[in-house]
Amino acid sequence: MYRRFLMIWTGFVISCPKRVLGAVALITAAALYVAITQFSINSDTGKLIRQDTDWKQVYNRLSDVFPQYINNTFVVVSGQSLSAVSNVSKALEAEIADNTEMFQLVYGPANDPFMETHALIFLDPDDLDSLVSDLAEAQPFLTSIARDPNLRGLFTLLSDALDGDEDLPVSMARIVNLLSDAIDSTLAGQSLPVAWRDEMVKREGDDTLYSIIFVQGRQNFDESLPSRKIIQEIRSTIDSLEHPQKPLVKIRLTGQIPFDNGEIESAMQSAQIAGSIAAVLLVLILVFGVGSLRVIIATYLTMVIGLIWTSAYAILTVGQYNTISIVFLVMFIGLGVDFAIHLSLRYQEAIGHKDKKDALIYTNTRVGPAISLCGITSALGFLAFVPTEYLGLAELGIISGGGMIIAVALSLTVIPAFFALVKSPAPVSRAPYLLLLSNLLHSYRRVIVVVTLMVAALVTYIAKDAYFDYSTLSLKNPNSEAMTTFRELQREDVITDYAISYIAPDMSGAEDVKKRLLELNSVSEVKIPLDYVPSEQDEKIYLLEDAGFMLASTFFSEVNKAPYSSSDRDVFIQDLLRASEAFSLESIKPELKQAVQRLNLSLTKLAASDSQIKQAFEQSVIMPALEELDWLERAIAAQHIRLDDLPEKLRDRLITDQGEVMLTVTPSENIVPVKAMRRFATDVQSIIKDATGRPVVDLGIGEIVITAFRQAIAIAVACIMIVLVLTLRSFVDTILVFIPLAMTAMTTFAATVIIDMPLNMANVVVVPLIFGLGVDNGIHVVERFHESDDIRDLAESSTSRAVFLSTLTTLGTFGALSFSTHQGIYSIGVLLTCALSSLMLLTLVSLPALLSVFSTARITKK
Amino acid sequence: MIRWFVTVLFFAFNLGSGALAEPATPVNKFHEGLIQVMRSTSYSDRLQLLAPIVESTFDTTTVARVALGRNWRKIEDEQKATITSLMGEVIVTSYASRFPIYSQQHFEVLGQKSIKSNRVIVRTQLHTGSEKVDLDYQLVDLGGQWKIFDVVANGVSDLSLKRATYSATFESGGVTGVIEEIRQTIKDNQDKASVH
Repeated sequence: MYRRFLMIWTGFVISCPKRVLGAVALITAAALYVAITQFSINSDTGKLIRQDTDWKQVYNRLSDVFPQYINNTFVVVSGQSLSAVSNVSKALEAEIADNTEMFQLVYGPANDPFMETHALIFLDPDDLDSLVSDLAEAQPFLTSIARDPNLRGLFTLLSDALDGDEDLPVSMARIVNLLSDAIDSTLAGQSLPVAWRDEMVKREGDDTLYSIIFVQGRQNFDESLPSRKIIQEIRSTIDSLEHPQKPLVKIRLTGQIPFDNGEIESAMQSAQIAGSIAAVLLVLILVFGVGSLRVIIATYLTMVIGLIWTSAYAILTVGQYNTISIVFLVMFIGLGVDFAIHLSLRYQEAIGHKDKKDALIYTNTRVGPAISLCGITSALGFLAFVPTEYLGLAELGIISGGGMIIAVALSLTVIPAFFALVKSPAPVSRAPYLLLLSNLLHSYRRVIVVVTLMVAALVTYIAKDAYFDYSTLSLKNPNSEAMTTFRELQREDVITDYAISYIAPDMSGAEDVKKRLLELNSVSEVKIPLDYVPSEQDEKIYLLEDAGFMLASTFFSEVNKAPYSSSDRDVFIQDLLRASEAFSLESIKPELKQAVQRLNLSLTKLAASDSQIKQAFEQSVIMPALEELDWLERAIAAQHIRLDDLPEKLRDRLITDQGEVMLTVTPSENIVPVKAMRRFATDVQSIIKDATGRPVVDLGIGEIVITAFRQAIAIAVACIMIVLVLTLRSFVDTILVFIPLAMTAMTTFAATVIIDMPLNMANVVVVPLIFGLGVDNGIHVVERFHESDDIRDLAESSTSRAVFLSTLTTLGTFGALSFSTHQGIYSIGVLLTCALSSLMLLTLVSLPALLSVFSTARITKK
Repeated sequence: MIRWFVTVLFFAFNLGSGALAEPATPVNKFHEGLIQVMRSTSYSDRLQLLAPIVESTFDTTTVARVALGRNWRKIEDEQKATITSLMGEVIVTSYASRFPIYSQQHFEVLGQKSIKSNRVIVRTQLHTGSEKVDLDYQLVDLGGQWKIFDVVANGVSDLSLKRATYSATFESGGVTGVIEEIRQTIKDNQDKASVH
């Protein structure tokens, strides 16, 4: 029946090949227009999975109550210099916040004036105490500047110190070096303001300091701004920011929006790179495998047309791509060409003993049913995810399933129409590798069967250790700025992404829950709003009073009213130059000695430069010092703070207007291993059912993906079994075709263990696909074997060659996916490469051996 | 009008000086002591003269407490008492050794400034033959009595200097280290005096 249809169709096509190709060209042009103009891609990983579960509702409630926490971009300012980090961050926050058209919430917790004024109360008492001691040490310098807001006070103090016979503290070396730095930078034309605060607040080692600004894009008509736009806007603000200390800090972006944006960009980029590699590889494989230019053109042309049609079909049916379904456009390059290869090679084989018209009809009716069947089985492999909750792969299924059918239909039309118009290709000579295969199969088929079964046992044994990686972050490009920054913040304990959040009805409820949660072994810390109020305040205020006692002389000093001119400035520079020249204390520490020598060199140059430079230097020393004095006076006078005193923007992140409060629970162990993650989530949920956060969401998504994965495998296996039994009409052959498939699935699982690339949200698609894609070649091989029931005939036939070639094209294009930056696509590429290599070997070597040993001969009647 | 203004001024002045002891009083008393010290030639006489004055005009407990910072709370009461009394000795010996001879030096009180309800800065100047030294005294009100806890000479605070020194010493040598260091300073002062 189908053969009759094919015969009529092929007859029609070759009777008017020009018109048929013309029609195809017209449709292709229309499809191209649709595919390009309507292209869109959805990156929201949340939308990849149908989520009407309880945990999703809890999560949604959290985002409704505390919208500040969702869809954020973290602008991370970091560096070694406290003053640079805090100044640049403050300036940047102001610039970003200025753009009210674009951003609705801009909040740098550390930049808040309240936090600045109360910064010292937030320090640990020990740190505060040593800070006060450092201030005591700096007191003479601070006072000299407060009394004389120019070089007079400071330089007189230094000259006196160098001239005197008192022991000088080694710490003076730092101040001396700062001045040398400032002179050098002024002479170099930079005029970097002196970072006095860095000297006041000494820190352990060279820890990096971070200041984070949370930025949220404005919502327009319930539509959030595209993440690309937000990122661009922030980046251009960063680029145009002018601040003298900007070169001292790193400014990077991370958070949900950069992740989403990176996801789209890397998926697009991956599809482009992999697509280009695949397209080139395909040409190479065809040149190597086919050798006939006409066959290469025919197959390539069919593939390109199919790709355009499929792109249009995807837009018309699904509406948009997601970061996983975009991969199919690359896969199609390898898959769509297969049917054309089978048809072309069979035609090339047939043309040797038939005339052109007969050969074309013979090819289509002979190979047509097999490739149609293959198209259907491949489509089934892809469609297996459609009934599941995993929308991302369901969409991929719909696109790919349709793509396969398009590829079959186009191959059965374009190939005969093309060959009807061009001269016949020369018949093929036998490929030497097929002779080798033939001999191998003939002589060692039993050995092959035994080895195959042994390998099967081995990979199954390894495969039992395969596991699923629950982290949705593992799909992100680990080398992207967003990811490296995010991991760095996590490592430095600046953010804890693995915390669980909970909205308690009120403050006392939160305190009660906190107490119970802290009894759990899996919990290390529970934060409620009260924890944001500094502890041990009495002690700290007491320490600040000490500082107030000592620095009153600074803050309340009388400003020196004696006249000061630029010639005075020259005098003080000369004085210090002379003092540094004459400085020679026997007992002095080498550090200080070196510092003074360096100052002497710098001062010599400064003294020789013109008045403007000297003034610029003075500014770079004095202005920031006055600013710091102003801050210090406020910070030292800070008083007790209560929860209500915290800045509104911070309180809003912790308490709602209705009095509901935010509670964050941190795990006591690393919860990247899923067992620990589950233990933590279950423990916490046993006390607060409505808890949410990444652990809960990742686990929830993971469960859905795993369920979908199991369903998809079951669907694929069941459908393909039915198809096999119906077409092969032999239980033994069905099992024999199935063995390489099952083995490939096991090999793939084993590969995830061996190369340590666990199954994840993206690469789970590979396993159902193995059944859909692998069964094609199995059917071709079984059908061809039974044409003569001779293993040598099979091995040397165009079928073996076509199986080899078409798997090679698929392998090449799928392998190209391994060059992706997108981790999901990359892992699909790697696993498919493993799977298809295994499939090719098993189909070409093991399956024929199995057939000849176990299958009963039959004479094909058709 | 003028009469009324003068009355108010007089009244205000009277109120200001009557309700509390004048913060300048201990400063003047200390200055007088210093002048006498300069006139005296024997170091032991100087000590004997200055000790009771410092005792009555300085708040050595505050000096000791601020100098030790947070560590003050960690040490025994006995150690606190030792350090407090040693602080008094350091003050006495350093002033006794710092002014070797009298050559018409004199002190001038320039004015005062309240910092908080219980703290005041009294600004003075020491005139020597060749130069003027700004001496700012910081005083705290201890139950109606003003006591000095810091002397700032040309902008350099003695209290800050003590804190910087002793907090570093405590870090390396603990409380015994601090006590030892104070004793050493007292001895150094004595040696300096005997050279003159």
